[in-house]
Amino acid sequence: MKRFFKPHSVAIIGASDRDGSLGSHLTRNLLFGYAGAIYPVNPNYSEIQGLPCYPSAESIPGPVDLAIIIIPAPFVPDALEACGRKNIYRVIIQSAGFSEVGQEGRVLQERCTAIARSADIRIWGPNCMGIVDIPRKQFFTFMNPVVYRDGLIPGRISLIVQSGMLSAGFLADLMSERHIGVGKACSIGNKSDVDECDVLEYLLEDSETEAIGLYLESFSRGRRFVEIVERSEKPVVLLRGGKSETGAKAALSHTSSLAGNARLQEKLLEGAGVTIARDFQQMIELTRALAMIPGTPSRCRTAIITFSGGAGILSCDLLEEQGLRIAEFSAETMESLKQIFPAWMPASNPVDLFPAFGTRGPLEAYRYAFDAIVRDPAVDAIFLHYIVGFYGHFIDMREMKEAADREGKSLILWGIGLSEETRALRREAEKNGIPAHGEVARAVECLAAASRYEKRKQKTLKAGPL
Amino acid sequence: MKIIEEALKKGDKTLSENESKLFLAEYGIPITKEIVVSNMDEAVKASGEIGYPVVLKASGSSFAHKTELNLIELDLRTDREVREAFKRLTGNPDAAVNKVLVQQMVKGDRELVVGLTRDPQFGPCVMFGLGGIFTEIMEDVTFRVAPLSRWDANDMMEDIRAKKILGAFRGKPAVDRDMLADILIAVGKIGLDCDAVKEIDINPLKILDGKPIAVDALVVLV
Repeated sequence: MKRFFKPHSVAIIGASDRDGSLGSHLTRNLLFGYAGAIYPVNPNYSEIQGLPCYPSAESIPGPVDLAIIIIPAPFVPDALEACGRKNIYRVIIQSAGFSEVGQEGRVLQERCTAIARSADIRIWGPNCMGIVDIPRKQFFTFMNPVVYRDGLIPGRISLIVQSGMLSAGFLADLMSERHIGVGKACSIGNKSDVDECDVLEYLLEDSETEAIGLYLESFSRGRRFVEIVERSEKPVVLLRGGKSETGAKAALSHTSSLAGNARLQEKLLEGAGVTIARDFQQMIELTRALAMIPGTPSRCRTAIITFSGGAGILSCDLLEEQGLRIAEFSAETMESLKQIFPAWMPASNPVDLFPAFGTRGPLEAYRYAFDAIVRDPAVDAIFLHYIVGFYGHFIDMREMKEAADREGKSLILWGIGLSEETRALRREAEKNGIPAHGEVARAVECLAAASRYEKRKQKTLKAGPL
Repeated sequence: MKIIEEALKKGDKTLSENESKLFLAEYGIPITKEIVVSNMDEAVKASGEIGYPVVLKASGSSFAHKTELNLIELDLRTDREVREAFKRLTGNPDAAVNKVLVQQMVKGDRELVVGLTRDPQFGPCVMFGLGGIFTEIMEDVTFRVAPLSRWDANDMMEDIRAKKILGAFRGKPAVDRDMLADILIAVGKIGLDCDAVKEIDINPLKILDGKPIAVDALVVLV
């Protein structure tokens, strides 16, 4: 797998200079940040985007670690054979028109896998968007370069996405929103050879990845997938598309009929330690939260700090619905909190700071309350609610995160308010390792998932190494 | 295993209730006391051996869903009741009943379900959940990939909405979780050991004085 992710040299089979063509996107994307040697291949050009262009893979002078193919499907088998002769052992086929389009495509795909097998080539794809490594600025993909126009937010979560276009859409969305960072995004397409298990295993060993989110429409090796997750020391989040009714209709037993409608898969994957997501945004936010606060204890006694009584009530309701406990503050914390409230306001959890504005001002009240609560041994997690744009900048997030780490507490942020300021707040939180969410239910879900993950880790410990 | 081989030889698609339970018992799963009989006198004698009250059920691999066909006679307390029930079963116009299963009547205070299914992707998987006649209405079940560790088995018990049903309940003792875990692990082991077993239903798995016991079971063959 490493040669797919960190090749020293890449051949682009189907490179192009024609504006807007996929081959041109691919070449531009490689030139954008890839540090190794780039060899465009296309018999119609002698030069592409300032690089010497070769008529075939075999005419490339140096050794090639990875070939990326973006030519019409019927020509792919010949290109693969040329790769074999050139001793290129890793090939990403991004072209479409294979098993996804029916019988003819299936035959073509089988021909490719046969060629690859006899030449010892590992195939990634076909019908995929390839690999994006954001911290390395490596775009092994034909997606439109406009995706990274606004700049990149590198992060420590990685994604495995079965669908091609969808992964481009997701990435475009994430990058233009600019408040959630991604490490590697892997679009695996038809999985004719390399599948989700291969990539997942690689990412579990990857020191730059802390949690993995997957969008899958099918499992290539279900049992293997379960084995890998059971022993994974990193959180794995799954969004499943195309839920199957495996054999449910022909079943004689109640057991098999109850297994239908994805219930079986969902339950046994959860049992293995997978966190299940229902939509893409949730998948990303769950993955990020699990990467940032994986040590949240399962009892998760939660403190809530807010400027709004209503936000406090709503947060409490949702926390309890998810089975999380509302922390009962120690006497010492209660005494501290009393100092900032007027005499008529009893201190309690959730901490509604609005009445404390008069005595301390909003930011000072927030800081004071946080400092008291973060030291309370009866608190495992702090749910921060903040309304942005009215009270000046948020209190120092690095300071909060450091205090929380020191005290072994998890932080999660629900930030709302004026849109530009909210984005800035979330970006700041992202930078400091505090998961930030725009919706209260999502923030609570993520905290709950983190607390459940703690329990799953016990299973990993029991299962031992793979 | 002999039970399976013989059924396959006969070309059966399923084991009868009695065969299913005898097979499960080989894996240490607790089952009801029961005897298959073919005439009325044998039925009365068997009832005496098992001890009243008893249940009479039509026996045979073709009767997978007996409740719907009126092929179960519950809570029989005397020889006379057994004779009458035997007559009703063997005279059922909708089913040719030649053999009758005389079975210990387990009242129990809770009904659970344990099962095995084979998923094309994930292989043999064990199911656990709320049993009885509402299994398919409540759909409160969970699944794990076989083989199961004890951790998995215990985790399954925490994974149903109605998990409180396993605790002490209306003056009845809590369910013996170790015994229940043994059953779940055993069903998973069958899934790995016996390719010929396609599906299993143990429904209901009743709880009697805190101990689980398989009251009805169905083994579906490949």
